[in-house]
Amino acid sequence: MKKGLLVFLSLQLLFLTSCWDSNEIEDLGMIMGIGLDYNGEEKDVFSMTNQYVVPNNIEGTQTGSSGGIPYQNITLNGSNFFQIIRENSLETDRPPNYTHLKSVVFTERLLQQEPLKQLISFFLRDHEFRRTVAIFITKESAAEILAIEPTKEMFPAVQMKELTQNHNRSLYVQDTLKFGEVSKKITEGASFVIPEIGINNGRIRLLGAGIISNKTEKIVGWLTPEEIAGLKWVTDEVSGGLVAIKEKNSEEDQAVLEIMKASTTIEPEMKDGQLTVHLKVKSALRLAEDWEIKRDVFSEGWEEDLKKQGEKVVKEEIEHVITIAQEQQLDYLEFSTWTSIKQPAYWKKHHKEWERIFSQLPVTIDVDFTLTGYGTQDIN
Amino acid sequence: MNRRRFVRTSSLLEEQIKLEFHNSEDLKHKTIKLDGLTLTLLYLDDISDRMVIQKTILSPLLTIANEDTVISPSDIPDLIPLAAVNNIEDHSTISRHLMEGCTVLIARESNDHHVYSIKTTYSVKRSPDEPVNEPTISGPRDGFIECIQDNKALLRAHLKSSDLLFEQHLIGKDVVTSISITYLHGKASETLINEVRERVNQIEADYITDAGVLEQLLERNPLSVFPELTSTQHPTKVANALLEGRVALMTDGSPTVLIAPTTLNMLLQTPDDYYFKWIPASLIRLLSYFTALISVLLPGAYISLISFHHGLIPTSLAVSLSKTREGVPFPSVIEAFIMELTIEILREAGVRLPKPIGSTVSIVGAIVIGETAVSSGIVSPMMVMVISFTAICSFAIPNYQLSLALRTIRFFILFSAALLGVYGMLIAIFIVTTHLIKLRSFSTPYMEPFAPIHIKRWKDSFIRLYYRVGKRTGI
Repeated sequence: MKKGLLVFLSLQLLFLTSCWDSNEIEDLGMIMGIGLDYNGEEKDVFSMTNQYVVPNNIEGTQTGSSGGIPYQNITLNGSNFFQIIRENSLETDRPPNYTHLKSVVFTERLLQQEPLKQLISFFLRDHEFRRTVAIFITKESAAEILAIEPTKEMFPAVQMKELTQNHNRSLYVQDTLKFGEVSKKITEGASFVIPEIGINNGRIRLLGAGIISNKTEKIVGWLTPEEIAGLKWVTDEVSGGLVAIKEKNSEEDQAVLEIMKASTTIEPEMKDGQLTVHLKVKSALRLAEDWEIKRDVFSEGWEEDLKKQGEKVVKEEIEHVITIAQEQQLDYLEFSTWTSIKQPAYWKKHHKEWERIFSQLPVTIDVDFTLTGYGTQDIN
Repeated sequence: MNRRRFVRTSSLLEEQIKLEFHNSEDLKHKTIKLDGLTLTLLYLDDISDRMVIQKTILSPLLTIANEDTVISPSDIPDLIPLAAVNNIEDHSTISRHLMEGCTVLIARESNDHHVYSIKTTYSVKRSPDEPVNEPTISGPRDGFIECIQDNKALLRAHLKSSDLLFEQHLIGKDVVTSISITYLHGKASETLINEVRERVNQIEADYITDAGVLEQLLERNPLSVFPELTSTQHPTKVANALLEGRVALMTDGSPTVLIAPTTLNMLLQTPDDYYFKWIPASLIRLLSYFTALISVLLPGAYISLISFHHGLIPTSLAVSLSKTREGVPFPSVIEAFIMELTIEILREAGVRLPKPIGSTVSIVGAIVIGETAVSSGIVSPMMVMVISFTAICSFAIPNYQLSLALRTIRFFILFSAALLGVYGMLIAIFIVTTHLIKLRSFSTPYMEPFAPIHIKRWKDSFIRLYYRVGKRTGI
């Protein structure tokens, strides 16, 4: 009897909690994207836009689906992000849930005023934010970016993240920069670039990138899409795209090569106490588009000319990016990482003065192309 | 049954038998007077074959009566042209012989008398059709019936071995049921046979109606939902089990034969697994393990995902789930419970109803659940899918006993998941697994060959390896 009572009482411990922590999925305010703007007012410095999913407006196979916008952006101001998020509960009955967050957009002005380290502090600490959330920077207002109606996806935030998945289609597209990577870079004390997003004819468009300095953790400059291509060649991120060659300095006679495979090795080398970085780029390409009438792909050595021209184009792109980085004294090219791995003794001794060393670092670039073919048919 | 002392005079013996049957009308009584010998025939009218009695008992005896030959009672067995003539020494068993359809012949000489029992059983039997709850695709289609003699014959037909032994035991206080412990001599271990014997002898019951009752009387873990003995109606399944060294228990009056010991692995097998080539057969085996898991875990997993761990659902699915659940008035636990209850009710209704009406239930069920419940917004379409898929998975489990056990556990897991999400589900799984590993069926671990681990025996577990040339296989 006593035992039975004891079992009953201990079972009550379980059941009295009822469904503790349970929260039905339809009661969630699922948030897909966050836009962070600088408000500038003394009291409410920040402005935060939360993109909520509105499940009822999602077009489905079920009847009764209205054609409304499936998301709702709520922009609120405050002096810290946690406070703004809690203030959301004054306007929406469904508490915000960030487990499905896809993208965070920072506006340029915010990153000019506040260090990124402090801006993402909250997002890295809270357990609901995944480390796979994509980060973007924009010259427009972040709230505006999130308000652009996407064309193929349901949510602007999802479309932004998906855009960076095209990094194997174009040299101008940088791979998704995730929260986890940002936190890694900040911990390493390295400079890095954040993909830029902008508006083009009312559509969301990936642009270049914003450079974050490791000294201030603020934005210090911008890279154009062409410069992104050079950066990708250096950091071994090329997995597709094209190399356009203007032959004989004439627009008419251009040729386009498609990148099939590419790899870059960075080899820091010590010579007489002087550090030199050798950059070796290897790539296999094929002729994708040809405007030259006279070329005969069936004769031996047809690719020699194209190969040389292509190598020259890529080499120039790389040189350009390295020059910019060295001028800014910001090593977002990962040279420091490779030096610390390959030349640990040197790195240990000189890592404190790396900025100075980097800005005068001699870099040799060696581009080696292999042309593997001309596609399925050649009509010449 | 009152064990009264039987008096050694036959006229009194007859009277006492009649008294025992309360002068029942179907107890027939016929007396033939021979020279100095009185023969009394006693038989129960409806279960004895009157033609057999007429031809093999009455007519030879009457012929002798006409010939005026002097015979002694001990000559009687030679006069009757039937094999099964038994001399009854213990008079208390007479009534049992009568109830089995035998004719009891009391031969009385002045003060000496002999009692014989002659087998003249007449009974109505169905043919050994394919068992309804264990259909097979290929392989033998005969099934056990309600008569123990015929069942033994069926088993002998499948297992033509002189090692096949039937050990008869009589159980029951009010009504005696004969039970046969069946095993292959040399295959089944002596300790197992002894354990079965011991448990059978320990049974104290008034009446055993079916093998299902016997199963529960033999069990040592009445609080467990898992069956400790496998029940089957397939002679081949029993034959295979006997060859593996197991013991079978046949009950008179029940088409179900019990097999001991039982393991979880055994319950997930079908005879069909052995009749097809090993690769597809193994895939089917894997499938039945998979369906068993699904039928236990799916509702619990769904509940814990949609009401606790939303972050674990892929985003696009989470978005469409939150759309489909929009407007459903109940929390997902209640919703799942409503659906589960409906399915269980429909299933029971389908079993109870006569076959022609049974299909009506499924039609009504399909329309009520599939269409109206969703369109009226009581449940979400996803929940209907989850619960009906679970139900179908539980139908795919080869053994009905196991299917029942897993249905029970599914509710346990469902409620644990509703209380504490995936954490609660893991606790529930932990409890069930611990129980399964601790469970023993006739001293054999229930999870064998997984726990304790016997990797060599895995070749006939979740996979079924090919038969090697020149090697005897497990089945």
